[in-house]
Amino acid sequence: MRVKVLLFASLRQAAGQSELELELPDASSVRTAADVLRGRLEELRLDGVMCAVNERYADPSTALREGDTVAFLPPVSGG
Amino acid sequence: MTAEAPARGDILSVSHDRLELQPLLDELTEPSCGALASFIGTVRSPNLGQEIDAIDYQGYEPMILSEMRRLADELHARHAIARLAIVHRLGRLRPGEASLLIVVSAGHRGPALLACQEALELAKSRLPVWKYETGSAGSAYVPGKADAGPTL
Repeated sequence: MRVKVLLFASLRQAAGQSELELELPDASSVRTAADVLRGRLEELRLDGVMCAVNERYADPSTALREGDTVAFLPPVSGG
Repeated sequence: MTAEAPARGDILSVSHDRLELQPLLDELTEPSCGALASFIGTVRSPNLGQEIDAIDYQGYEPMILSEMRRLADELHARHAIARLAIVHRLGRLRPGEASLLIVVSAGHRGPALLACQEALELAKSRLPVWKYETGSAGSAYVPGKADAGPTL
């Protein structure tokens, strides 16, 4: 399946890009996407990062579906 | 300003321009509400001993709006309030400029004040927003909180 991945803040800075597409095996989770991403971008540090699927905070074990948007969100500091 | 107007009449939005409190107060004022509570968050300098030139506020805009709607649902469920406004500014802000506005209207002062503070704390911990601070010590992302969801 193909999913869209969004990177923000320090992750965007480290990766040098804000958006990419990943091809994942069937029955992949957010954690699978993170592992594939780590393999592709070795400089990326994802420990302690929150995840969102389709604009909602999600557990790393969340199952992904074709066309989902997965966002990796460093600790937030709004306000 | 990209305004959202759900059935309750809440105003939940992201702005790339200077924030103005008065239009929100005017919009949320109504005779049946005896209380209007508001909060303005501004860029502070010095911060942690460092003179600040500017903060670049970055955000995941569609999710900021989705998360604002969920916060609003929770606040309406927990407090006897009438309407709620949350507006977060993104982009480059100078010290003293407003980054966040919150207004709550309610029949009485208790729920208005409580919900206003709760909306602020929820907005700070849950909205996907990041501060990139530039000051006398250089530029860096401000350490944030990861309370909103499980982490990798």
